[in-house]
Amino acid sequence: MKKLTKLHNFAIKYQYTFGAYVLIALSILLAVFVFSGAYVDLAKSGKLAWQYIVHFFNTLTNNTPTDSPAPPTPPPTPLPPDIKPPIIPDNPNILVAQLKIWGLMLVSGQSYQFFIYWLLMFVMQATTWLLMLVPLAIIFAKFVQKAYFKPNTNHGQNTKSLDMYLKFSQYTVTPITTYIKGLFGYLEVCKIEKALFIIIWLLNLNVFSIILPFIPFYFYFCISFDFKALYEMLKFVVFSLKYIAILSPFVLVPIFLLLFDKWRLKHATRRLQKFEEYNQSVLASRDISTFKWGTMGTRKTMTLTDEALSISVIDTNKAEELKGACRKMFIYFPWLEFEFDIENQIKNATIYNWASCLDYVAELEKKYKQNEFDLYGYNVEKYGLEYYNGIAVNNLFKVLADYSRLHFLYVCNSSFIISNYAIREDKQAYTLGNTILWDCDFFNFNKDVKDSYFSKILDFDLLRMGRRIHDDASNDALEFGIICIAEADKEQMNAVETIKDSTESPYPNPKNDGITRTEKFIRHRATIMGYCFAHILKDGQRVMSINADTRELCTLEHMLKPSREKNTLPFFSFEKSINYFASKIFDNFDEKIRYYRGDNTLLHYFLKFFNKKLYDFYYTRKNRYGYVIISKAVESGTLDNNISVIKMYQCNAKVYSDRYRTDSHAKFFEDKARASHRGIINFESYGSTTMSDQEFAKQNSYSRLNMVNPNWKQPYIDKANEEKELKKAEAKKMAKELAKME
Amino acid sequence: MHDFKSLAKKGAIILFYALLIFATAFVVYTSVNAFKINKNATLDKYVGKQFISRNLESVLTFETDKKISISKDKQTVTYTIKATEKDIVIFVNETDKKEYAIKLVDNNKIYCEVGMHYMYNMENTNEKTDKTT
Repeated sequence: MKKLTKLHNFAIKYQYTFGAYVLIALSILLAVFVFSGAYVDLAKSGKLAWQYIVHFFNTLTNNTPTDSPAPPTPPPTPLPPDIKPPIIPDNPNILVAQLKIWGLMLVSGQSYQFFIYWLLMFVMQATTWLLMLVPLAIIFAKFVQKAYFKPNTNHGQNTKSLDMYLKFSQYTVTPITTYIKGLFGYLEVCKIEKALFIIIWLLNLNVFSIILPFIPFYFYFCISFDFKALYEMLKFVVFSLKYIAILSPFVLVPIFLLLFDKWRLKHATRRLQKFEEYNQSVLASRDISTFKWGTMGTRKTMTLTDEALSISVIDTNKAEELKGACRKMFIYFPWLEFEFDIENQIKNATIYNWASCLDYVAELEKKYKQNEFDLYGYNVEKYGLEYYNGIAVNNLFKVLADYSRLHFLYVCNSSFIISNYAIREDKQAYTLGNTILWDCDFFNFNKDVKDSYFSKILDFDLLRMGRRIHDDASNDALEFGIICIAEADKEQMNAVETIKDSTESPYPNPKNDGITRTEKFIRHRATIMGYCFAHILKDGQRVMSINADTRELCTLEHMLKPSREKNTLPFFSFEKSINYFASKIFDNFDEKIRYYRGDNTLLHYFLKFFNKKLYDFYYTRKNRYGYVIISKAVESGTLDNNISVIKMYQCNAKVYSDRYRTDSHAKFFEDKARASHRGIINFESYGSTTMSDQEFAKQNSYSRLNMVNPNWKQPYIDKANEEKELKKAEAKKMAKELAKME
Repeated sequence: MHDFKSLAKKGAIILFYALLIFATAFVVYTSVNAFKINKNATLDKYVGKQFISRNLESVLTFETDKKISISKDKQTVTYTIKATEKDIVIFVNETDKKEYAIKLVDNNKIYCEVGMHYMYNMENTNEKTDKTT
């Protein structure tokens, strides 16, 4: 028994290894019994490759082309008896003739006649079949309806056929699919087995036989332009594909479709990346402060988030670009060691912001001047401490100060976005122990690989240079970053809401908090080598609700109607149509069967399975490659009516990839609703279409109150006055008691 | 006005796609016909047979499996067959060394590229005669 358990455990442990070896053994057996000719071809190809190498050097050494010996002839590759002759003829003249005839057929009226005749025949045949099949399909559908839509309330019970299938699949379909998936996973990880398998099949399918002579032939062709030899080589390649042509269409068609699909996905991703490049070029040439306007649901916050993510990438790349400019000034300086030093100081918390970077470089300069520091071994005498750029002289320590700040920004394992709602950024740092490279691609990613960084909480006190809620030094920490404020007009409030506030108020308010002063001075804090690493992005609903000072500091972007959703995937309408028709059929069936029957049936089970597969196939592609073109009417904050329209791409894979929540404030309202202990089902309903006065009274409407009793506000005023008096009395009492105690 | 514009736009798009599908199907159809090799076609079948172009401009005769003659306006030019492969025949005018090609589509129709790169749909006169008799 123990032995059996051991054997079972052993089999479980090595099941995929066995599977991989069985696959390899099968491939070898096929190589021996089916594809043995491929190995003979490989030997011939090796010989041909060698002949081309010899011929290439012979041609190189001969001075005149006429002296060159004739190029080697590719050996004949006999075709297996069961495959059709290849499309390429032996004689190149025949191919040329075929091409000529094709060209002639394209312009011949006779060809059009034949084609239209053929088309009509095809349509007629298809119609005949349809006429027969449509009634049959209708009869079948009616039969299924009759058989299936018998009402029952057997909730959760399976039909006999479904039970039988589930039992059958438990021992067959499920373990087999699980095993195949596991085996593929194993082959992905085990490189030796995978490589062995791929090599055997490349040999079996004659791929090596094609590549081997092609490489020396390529070099020969570069110097000879021998088109006759090229045709011979082309023929050799086509004939060598015989082992691929021998495969069944059941293998070839899926392989072709898979390869075609791979091309489509790659092309679609490349297009999305181009869109992002375009977006970044637009954003890079824009003002540092922008305000997006639009009513609810006009994609303001989405656009704001999208732009913040792009700007984060722009700033990261810009930091590296400026670092490169610094390195070009002092090419012999050991920059890598300086970078390591900065990274160590960040780990030690000596460096935590840009100001501390400047302090650290100042300290290095001081040590250097006191001969306590050798500048990481930099040869000052040979290479100097100054760089003249044609108009000004840059000192090494000034450049180091800039470099340290740029490097601090570049290596920072965190988000630069500071926002009043949560934004998720993802980027992946790659290093081999030297420099760091960031992968900030939004579209070509594996969901398991990238690191997520959430945006920093925006403490509005960071922006206040005047009165603050908490007035302490820690709120002066803002140096650079991408400041995102959603619903900024609600934070700033309008003129009516701030009517009682003044610059003299003892509490912070939009009139005395000095946020606009921060915006005016932000460049002074955030600029390195002429580039400003601070950006302010806001959104709101009404342009005129904010004060002129706030408005005129930024560019106004009015959100226009976006385009309908498009997709970068070529022929995406194929997926769309299949999903549309499948969903139509399934949804109709699903709705009816759920209404009529409480039990689970086999047909419903299979339809759900296939519909889900199709839906996943369509929906993941729609999400991954879908995009919308958004338009913004841009004008300056002075509202000079000089409007230009800018178009940008908004890609689903970027903005819908759990970047932010449009209901980010939901928790606040959920808590309030929870505390209310009632919901919409507890709200009272009208008794009829004519409203009674009691029902009208339950509205607590101002208009009714004004109609019923114009003095309805008086009790509130009286109550407020009473409370005021009470407070005054209490204060007096307290003052008296204090005076007594004193 | 706006509705007419959008309707016209939609119509143009549908027309464009319809034309695109038609053109693609036509290109596929002609390429299949031009490159499809008729395995049963051999030159022997045509030796001694005459083909006449529809507009009676010329008559093509397979003299032997080495020679073809083309008569036009009472003048006959003989061409040498240079290469054949299944249903394609290439022949050359020995005087000016110009090459022409014929695709033998079936027994009574051939596509022929003659003279000024014109294509003639030629019909087998022998077959016609057989049918009429």
